[in-house]
Amino acid sequence: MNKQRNDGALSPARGFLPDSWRRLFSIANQLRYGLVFLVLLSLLPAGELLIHLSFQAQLQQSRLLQKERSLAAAGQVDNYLDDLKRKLSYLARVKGLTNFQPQAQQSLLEGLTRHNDAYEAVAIVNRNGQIVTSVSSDVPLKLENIATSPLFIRVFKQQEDYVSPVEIDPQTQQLTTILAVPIRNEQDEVDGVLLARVNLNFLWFIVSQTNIGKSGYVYIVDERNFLIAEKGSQPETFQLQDLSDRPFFQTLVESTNSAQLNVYQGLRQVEVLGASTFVRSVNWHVVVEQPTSEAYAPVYQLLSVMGGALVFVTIATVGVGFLFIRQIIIPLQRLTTAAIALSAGQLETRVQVHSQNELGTLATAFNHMAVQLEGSIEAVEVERNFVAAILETAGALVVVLDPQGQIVRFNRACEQITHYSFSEVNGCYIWDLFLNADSTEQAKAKFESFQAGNFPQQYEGSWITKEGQIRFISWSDTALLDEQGSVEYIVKTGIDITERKQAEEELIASEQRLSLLFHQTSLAVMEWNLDYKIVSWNLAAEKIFGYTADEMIGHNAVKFLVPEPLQTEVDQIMRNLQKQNRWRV
Amino acid sequence: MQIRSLLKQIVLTTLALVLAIGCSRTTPDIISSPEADPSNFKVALVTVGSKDDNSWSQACFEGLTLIQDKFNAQVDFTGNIADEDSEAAIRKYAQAGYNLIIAASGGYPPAAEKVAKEFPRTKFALVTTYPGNNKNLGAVAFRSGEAGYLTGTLAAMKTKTNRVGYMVGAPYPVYIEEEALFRRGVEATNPAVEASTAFLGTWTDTAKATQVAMEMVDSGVDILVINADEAGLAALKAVTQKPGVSVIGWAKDQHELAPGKVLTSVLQDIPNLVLNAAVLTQQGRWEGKLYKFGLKEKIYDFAPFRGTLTPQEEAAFKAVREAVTTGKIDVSP
Repeated sequence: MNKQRNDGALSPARGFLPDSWRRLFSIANQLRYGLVFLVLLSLLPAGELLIHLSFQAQLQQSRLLQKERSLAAAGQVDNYLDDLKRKLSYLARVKGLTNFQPQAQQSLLEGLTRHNDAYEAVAIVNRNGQIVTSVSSDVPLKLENIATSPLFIRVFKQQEDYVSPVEIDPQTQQLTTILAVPIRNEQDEVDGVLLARVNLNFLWFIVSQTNIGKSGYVYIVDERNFLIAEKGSQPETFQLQDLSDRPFFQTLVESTNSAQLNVYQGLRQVEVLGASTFVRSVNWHVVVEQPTSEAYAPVYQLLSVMGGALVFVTIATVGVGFLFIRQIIIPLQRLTTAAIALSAGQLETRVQVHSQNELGTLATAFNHMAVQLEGSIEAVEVERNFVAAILETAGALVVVLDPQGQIVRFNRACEQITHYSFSEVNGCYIWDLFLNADSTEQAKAKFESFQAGNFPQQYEGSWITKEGQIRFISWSDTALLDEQGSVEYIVKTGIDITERKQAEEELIASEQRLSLLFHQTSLAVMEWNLDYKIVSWNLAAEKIFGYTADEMIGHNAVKFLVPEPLQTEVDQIMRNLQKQNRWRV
Repeated sequence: MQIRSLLKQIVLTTLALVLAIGCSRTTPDIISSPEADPSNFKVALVTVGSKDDNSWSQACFEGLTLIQDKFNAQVDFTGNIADEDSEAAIRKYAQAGYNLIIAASGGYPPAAEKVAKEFPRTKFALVTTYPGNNKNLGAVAFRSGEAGYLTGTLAAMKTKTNRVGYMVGAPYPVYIEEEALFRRGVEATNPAVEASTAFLGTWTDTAKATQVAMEMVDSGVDILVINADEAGLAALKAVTQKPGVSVIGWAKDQHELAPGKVLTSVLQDIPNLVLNAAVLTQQGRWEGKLYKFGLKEKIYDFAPFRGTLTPQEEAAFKAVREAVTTGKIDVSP
């Protein structure tokens, strides 16, 4: 019975997948991995999108911040220069300035130098390129060949305002430029040039005051792409530098109005986030550069915070999910293990699940089912043992064959008669062991008739024991059918009639011998029943008493053979004999 | 119970975190700004062509758009106005109270002068070379001598036949100056080179432009500067079919029209030129005079040479350009 139970034991779902894959696709793993996949699929992309958008927004903020810084610095430069130029422009619109008395001109120019000390020197040049009036706060103005200079050509000939390239004054070591405007005579015609050499010390103030974080810096490039001021440089030792050939500069200038991030190797050969603003009045560029290591620090901080938050939320979500799944998986695993154990015959298996949900109901139902199953199996086993005991202890022979004629059961009576043990005959064909050659075919034919549905059958047959003795058996065969109606087992029940057979044969022989004696003896032999009626009368009696058997059989023997006086005594003797249950006289 | 309590705490913490992130104040997008009401700065533009002529008028209209964007100005545009009809168009805007009226044609000065005198509180800007009235009528123009001189230099540098040509659409003062400086640039570079120039009198007659250009080429010109809008495009395509002939384009990068045959193109930033008039007006600096813009202000530039010049030629040209930009070379007319 145990063997049968184990054969039917449950195992993890069988299929074409190997065990490792079956484990991988277990419900528990599918729930776990499904949760992880779900979290990764939903939370991570959303988080990454959020981080990406925040990252882009932060980058944009950084870019705009740089742009604002450069705009602010450029605005300061432009305002300062514009203030200087506006004074000159005012004088340029004064009709008849060139015709003013030299003293008046001197006073006007002196007013400029007193108004703003950036005016190092101011002069009026006539239409021939000669200085007619000049005022200087320190170093006198010295200009050679004014008439052929770009300044004079641009201002006087082309009647345009002029801003000269920035130079370092060799005497003062200051950055200077010359502003020049055309001035007019009383006929409102351009008749001369008003020029002012201005120092650009304010540039150093602006670049030094512009705050670009700890490591950022600002610098100014003129229209020739010369570096004219840089934060951190000393004005006394500063030298103009041509940046035209620096690869970053052209890109930066071209992208002045671009909304794209300007990340490049900056002026100081480190990767920077840069922004440039064009100062239209003088065609300069104010460039702000901040090393990306510092500019992106808030971005990276944001990224780390959001990344950490995302990781935390992911882990928390997965953890919570696992805890919930655990509430499903553990009962499920217990149920699975219990079902496997139950199917393996461990009927005492019970599931310890305390959930109040469907799994709790399932576990309770399982336990109830297991209890019922255990009870049923025990009842069946008792019944089976009872039947087996009967079979084993019964004197009758019981042999169970499968549809092929192989022995599957062989009770103790069979073992005693044949002297074969069950283990010796188990699985053997019955006709190979117990039948002689003559009866083998007959047995097979009988077997086939079973298959055809001819059962039950009663007949007498014989078995040959292990020692070769013949035992006569009276068989009663029948068949057990399966659910489809096919023969599943053939049950042969037999009674050993060998002794009876022998007794019958001996009786026949004895009767034959008695008959011979009865007919050939010279003694009169007669036989009567308890009613004294004669039932047999041999030849010697015919000769001795003169009556033939036909004449005497059926007649009272006492009346014929016992003298009348003795008949009473004989009757008494016969009654006594009958009372004493003794039949012989 | 402990597990339940733990679960409850984890769930509550997670929900709080999610809510905190979700409800956190979003960073304001400082890039986009709400649509503001238009300012009271009213600007009008009158041109000879339509706003989508893919040429001068369209570029001026783009300048008007820049003004609208920069100052949130109220703008209006009238195109296809011939010179003789310009006075009415300009007066209409002056009567309507526009602050700045831009007349973008070399043929508009007489009309602009007349209307400017009638409306002294209105600013008028011509987009051409014009000296101004020292009051309310001024002009923004290219420092056309720079482009003329440099194209002359380049043509003289590259010619093999010692004959170069220059053709332009109309004999406006700005182009007369440009033609003169072209000749000066040629002569300064190589006195042996002969310069032929032509004023077409049209910006649209492709047949005439082509004919003039082919006549120049037939006379031996192998480098031709063409500044003639639509008419010039046809001429450019025709002459570049001739072997050994190269051109210098104008207004836009015309490399694609004849790859390898276009030495470079003079790029004009007309929209920013127009914008400058509005900037000066807004600053109160519109003084009724001529404001010139050129290489220094990046209103002019040259398209990439793409190998049409040797490194030595390119360096030499760069040096001349630098001298012109800084005024060391006199490009006065």
